Amino acid sequence: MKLSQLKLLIIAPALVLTACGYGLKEVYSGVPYNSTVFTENYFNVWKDSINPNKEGNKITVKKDTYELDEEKDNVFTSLKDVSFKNCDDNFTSYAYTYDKDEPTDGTVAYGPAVSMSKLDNSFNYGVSSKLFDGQMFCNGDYQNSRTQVEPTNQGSDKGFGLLFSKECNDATYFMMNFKCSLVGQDDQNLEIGMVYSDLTLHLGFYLRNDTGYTYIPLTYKVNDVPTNSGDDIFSEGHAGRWKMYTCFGFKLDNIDTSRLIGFSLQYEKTGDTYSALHPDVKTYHAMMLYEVSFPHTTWH
Amino acid sequence: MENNQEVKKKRLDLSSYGTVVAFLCLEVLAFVSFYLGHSYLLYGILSVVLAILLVLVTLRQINKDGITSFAFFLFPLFIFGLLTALSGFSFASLGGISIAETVFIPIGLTLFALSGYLSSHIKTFKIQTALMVIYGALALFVFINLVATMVYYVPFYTLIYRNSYIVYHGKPSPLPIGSMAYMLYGFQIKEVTLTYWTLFPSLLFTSVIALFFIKYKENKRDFLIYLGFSILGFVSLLFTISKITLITDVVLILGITIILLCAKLNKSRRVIDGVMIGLGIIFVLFVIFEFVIAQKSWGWTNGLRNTISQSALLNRLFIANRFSNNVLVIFQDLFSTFKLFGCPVGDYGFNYPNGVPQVISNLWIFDNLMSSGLFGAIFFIIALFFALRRFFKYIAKSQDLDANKYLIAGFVLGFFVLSLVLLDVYPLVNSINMSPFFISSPLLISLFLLGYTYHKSSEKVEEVVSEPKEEKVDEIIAA
Repeated sequence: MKLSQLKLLIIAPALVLTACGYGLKEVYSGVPYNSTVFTENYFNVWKDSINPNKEGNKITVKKDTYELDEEKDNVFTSLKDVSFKNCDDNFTSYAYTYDKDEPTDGTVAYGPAVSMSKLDNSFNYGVSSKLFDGQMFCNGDYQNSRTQVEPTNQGSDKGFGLLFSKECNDATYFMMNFKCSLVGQDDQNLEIGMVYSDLTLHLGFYLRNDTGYTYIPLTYKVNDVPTNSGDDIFSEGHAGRWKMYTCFGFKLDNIDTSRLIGFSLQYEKTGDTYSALHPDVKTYHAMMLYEVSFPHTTWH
Repeated sequence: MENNQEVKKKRLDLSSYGTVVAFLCLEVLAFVSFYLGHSYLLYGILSVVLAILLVLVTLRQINKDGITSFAFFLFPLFIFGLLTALSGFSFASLGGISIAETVFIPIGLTLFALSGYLSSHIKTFKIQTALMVIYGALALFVFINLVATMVYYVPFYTLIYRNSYIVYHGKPSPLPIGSMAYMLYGFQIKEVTLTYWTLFPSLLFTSVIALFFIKYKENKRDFLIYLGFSILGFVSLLFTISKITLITDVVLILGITIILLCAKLNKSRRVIDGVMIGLGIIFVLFVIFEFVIAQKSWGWTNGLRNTISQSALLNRLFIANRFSNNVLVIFQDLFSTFKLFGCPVGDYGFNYPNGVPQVISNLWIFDNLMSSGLFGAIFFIIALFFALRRFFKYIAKSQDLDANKYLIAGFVLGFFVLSLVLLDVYPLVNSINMSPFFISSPLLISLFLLGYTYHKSSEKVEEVVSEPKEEKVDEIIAA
């Protein structure tokens, strides 16, 4: 056998043996974050290299915390806001339906239209893919549709920080859709109907630089976030369902997002209408985050 | 004057394009072997073009008796395809909206078989080259699939991650990691079921048969190429070995062994034939028995069913296993829901008279009853019977090299047997798109090869279409 033939026989299997297990980075024995215990479902996952609270992170530049301005940054807190219209050039071409399906009238539903999973397949893998799948609302999918975020009031280092596998240079606005949930001690159902929470959001954008990451912290106070709002379309009427969620976002004109590669979210609960009336009742709070997107971007 | 007319006549003879069409034939075979997922429309169109060109170049040489005999294979195959095209199942499974699309099912099936038959009339069409092209394209396809799967997973992930799941598009994967693999499906790499994925390296591994007939010292190039194909097929099967595929791997190795025994031990031929016939009879009896116990409307079968269900072994064998459940439902519905012409249009998956949801056993021989009706399934069996009868005659009498004859046996028989277990009608893990048996590309290749062997099995084989002899034409012109 010639040397070249022998090489081929050795190289071909060797190539296969260098398998990288790209799809095995997140493996679960069942449905993850699906415990019957409320507090076990918090998604407190940080990539070490971008965790500002962890020593040894690769954040080489930290910008000053940027306080979002409602007018200047076109901050919106619902899909019906005028400021949302200012953010998205395609505002009039969407149908703001309340499920993930395409509308029957031929228009495009907002959620699927701006989902990151459609922009790049890398957003389809892992638990965080729930944030990028275009499903803006629960629609009876419960734990498969939402990510449960823990407030920093209940302990430090809560929230999550994600690093994407690709970079983006053309983000024009940011959007996330969420509501909140409140339970009593030992998962006690408070049976309170819909109440409202006030939150202070702490967002982080991470930009790739030559030596690590540039960290851009942002903050904004959102009041009257629907909490424990049911998802029954008959409870408030189909047309009013958007009131059960807070669609928060802002324009990125005043924020440098070139080489955007990561995103983190933390929040503080500054108050809720139930606790204001029952200050002695021990409760657990969570943000139920359904969708995060940098709409109409390209990832390289 | 007479000479000039003769020259004109010869110039109009399209048989001189035999080599060009033979080359086109190889290209189509490579294209189909490479597999393009859900591309039955494309295959259908290609089969039309190829068949027309083959008819044009072989028209003068086609033997009337031969084509009449071939019609015994072609006609039932066409009827099977037609009944399948008209079935409600095809509309649902292929996403067809009218017969304009599904009509390519009978066209593709019939014309691929016809192309195989006609190509055997072309002298410049060499079966060893065709087989090399088929296995070569299949090897490239398998290699891409193996690399894609190994990029996402690791060798032996089917054992290591047997009960683990990944989250994809916000949802836990519908199957455990150990039951999935990645495949070039159409023009995209997609998650498919491991059983479906395994079909292709299994077919590729049948190329090992060639190594027992080609001598290394006499034909190093071919030997090494087939060795490479075999190793690739083996490595693919080894790296993705699992409980289910282990069974099919054993069946594959046993099948290859039987083919080799048939080839090498001519003296024991009767014993092997006896074993094969015996296995066939057992299978037919099994099918009849399944059919009987499925008939709940026949009062006397209740007692039989009860007797079987009381025995753990018999129950596992005939009722409560991976396949039997749905096979029984298909048999049960044969005369009520599916009737004689298959799943009615518009009723697939809903509005069943007896409320039965979609019934797919993943065993093509039974699924044909649902997708094409009793008539369709019988017509396919008839077509297969005639084709295989001539195929075994080809094995016994053809002048082709043993390596080619038994490679064809390995591919064709390997496909029809292995696809019973491995051909998953729902190959895509994250999609409800189907890929039924009757649009699968290895079936088209098998039909092409059966068409080829049909003509070659004739005792008087005439290879009459060849390159024009330019010298003679020049001589005539000069005269």
